[in-house]
Amino acid sequence: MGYGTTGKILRVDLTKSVISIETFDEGFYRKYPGGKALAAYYLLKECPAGVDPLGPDNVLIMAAGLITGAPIATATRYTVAARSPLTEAYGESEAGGFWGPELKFAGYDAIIFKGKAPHPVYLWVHDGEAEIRDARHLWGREPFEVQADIRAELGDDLVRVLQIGVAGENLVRYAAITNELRHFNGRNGMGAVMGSKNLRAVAVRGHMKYADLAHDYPAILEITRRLAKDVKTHPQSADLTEKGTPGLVLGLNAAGILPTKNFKGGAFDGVAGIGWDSYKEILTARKSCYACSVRCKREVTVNDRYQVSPNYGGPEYETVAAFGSNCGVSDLQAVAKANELCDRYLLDSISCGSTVSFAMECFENGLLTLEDTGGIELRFGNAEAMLQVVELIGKRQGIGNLLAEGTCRASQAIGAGAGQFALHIKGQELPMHDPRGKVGLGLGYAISENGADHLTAIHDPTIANPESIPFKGAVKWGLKEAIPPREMSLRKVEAYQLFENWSSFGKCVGYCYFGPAPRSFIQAEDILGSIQAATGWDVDLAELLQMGERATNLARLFNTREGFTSKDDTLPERLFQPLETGALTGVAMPRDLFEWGMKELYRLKGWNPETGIPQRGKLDELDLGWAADLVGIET
Amino acid sequence: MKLHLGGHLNFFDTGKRSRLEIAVPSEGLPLVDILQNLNVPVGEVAIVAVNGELADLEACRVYPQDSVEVYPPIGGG
Repeated sequence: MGYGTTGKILRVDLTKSVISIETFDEGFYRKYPGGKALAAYYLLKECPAGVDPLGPDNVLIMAAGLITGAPIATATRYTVAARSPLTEAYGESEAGGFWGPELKFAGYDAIIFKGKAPHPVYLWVHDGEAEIRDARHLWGREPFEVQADIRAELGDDLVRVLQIGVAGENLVRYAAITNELRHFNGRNGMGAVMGSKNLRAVAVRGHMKYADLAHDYPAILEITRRLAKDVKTHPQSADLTEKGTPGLVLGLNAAGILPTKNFKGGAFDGVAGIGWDSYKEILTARKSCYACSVRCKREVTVNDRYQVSPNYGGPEYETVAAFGSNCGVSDLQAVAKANELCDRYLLDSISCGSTVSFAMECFENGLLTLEDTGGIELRFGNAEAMLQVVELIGKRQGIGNLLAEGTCRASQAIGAGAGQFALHIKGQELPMHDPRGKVGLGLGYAISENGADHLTAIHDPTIANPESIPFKGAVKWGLKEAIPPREMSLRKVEAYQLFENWSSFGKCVGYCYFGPAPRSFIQAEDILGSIQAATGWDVDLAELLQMGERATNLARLFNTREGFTSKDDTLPERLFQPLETGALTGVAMPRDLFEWGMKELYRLKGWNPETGIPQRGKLDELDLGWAADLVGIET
Repeated sequence: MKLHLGGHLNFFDTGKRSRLEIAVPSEGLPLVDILQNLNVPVGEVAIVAVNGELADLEACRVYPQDSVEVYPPIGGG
């Protein structure tokens, strides 16, 4: 009987080829329960200030959450973190799948990598043992083959393989990591950090069970069984099972906030070609993460205008919008091909799609020429050109070498006003949600420590209607009243803060964004019950939210140490300009209200309202005096 | 009248239909009445678009040639 964790962390020095184990007590985990919290704790403590993100001294952390591995639906997530080569800020990306639970069953909550291996390697972790193995024969090869080869040489088809692809090897600044070929730590270039360390893969296998880790496993099973029924009847989870995230396309288009042609517009005239009715035609299977009955993952197959293998799953909403409407492409088969290419090279499909749409706008405005592109007519709507450029990015060839740097660096290299087309925050490209129609999301984009991120809180429409199912779920977490999506007010800032802590808590313990209400079906009382059952702690919702707040403050302190301030918490200029198409044509993010909202948010967080730096009082309240001392915060 | 029950709204319809053809008299009908007949809770409707234009659910009256889309609150992800 334990408290949901293994109590052990694996340390791997790739330079010296030395592996060691660190153990922690229960008190440590109550403050840093895994995932984002563990990652931020170690990055702040052990990553040298000013470290080169692609140098050997960067610290790379893979951390499962406290509830990760429980058979409860959506309790599958793990975090990968390091200083980001894309933003040079705190870098983080979460994924579901099977790798996080398996890491815990193999005996560890987290792995900390330091140094750089002298040649390509992979780490093999199994039932408490760990060894560094040669991966020279795997370097440069496709993920599908690499996974099969690792399983074959380890003699076990149930080995869970986390890996990078050629994009990570080539240090593309938004290279992704996959596990099981179809679950991705996409954002912030964590794949490039693995590549910089010559670390191609981490294979895990274990025979422990969550029953060995939990305080009260029968109580976990009781919640699991109840939720397995709820998932089929609750409209939000049932819809995720039926359509998955691609079901969002048509609604966002109708609402006028489907990013179109590099965020110039909010509705796409070719939306029918990328909407759910088109998606159904290429859908061949619905897949799940470990023990998750939501089954929101898609698998597509195309043998028509393009050939798309089912081996790499299918595009999520973000990918459909990034390569569809935002590139002006209305052919879902081409979008599915772009998704497959991203998954084979292992590129973040959000940043990659956004970088292609940026390049398309540069091309249409004469800032990139045929000479620059190697003869590719890189215009909005040209699906063939889009696919050619994705391949070039993965290989870092031709124009792809420039675009592999991301929109921020590429726009600086191009110059001549290209910056106006580079839609990024802190260097990370915008996800496919437009804050002009949901202003609280704008606060989240701006303040997120890892650059533009759509999962830092809930989205405004979730809490807009007092009669709606999600609103009723939000009330249980402490929301007091419904607030319209485009209202920027003190109550909106307070709601944002509440659900930023909610989201961060989920990342710490390992719950997926598609588990807890208000975004999905697991009500606050069951989230609380699951943590109490796993740990035996007398926690309440306030303590859970504070876990999230603590992790966010640690990540913020990492950025403070690297020189980030309130100046970096802003939005791309385009979002302050009016939308050109769709139901919200003419609507812009109100600049004065946005700036006012940010200051109110800092105040609410206990951060300096001018500089955005966490204040000592707040850090002491979160028991982070040690971190304040480390960063030199006295007041 | 063509009606698209977007997002999870089709789960409230007994046939779980997402695209429906509904007979509407030439003088029109309140959209609220149509949704209530389909067991779609009005409180769950966040977006109404009639012929591509956003509309207010309470005031919305629909006619035989209309194409109507309704969606629930759309979160992120």
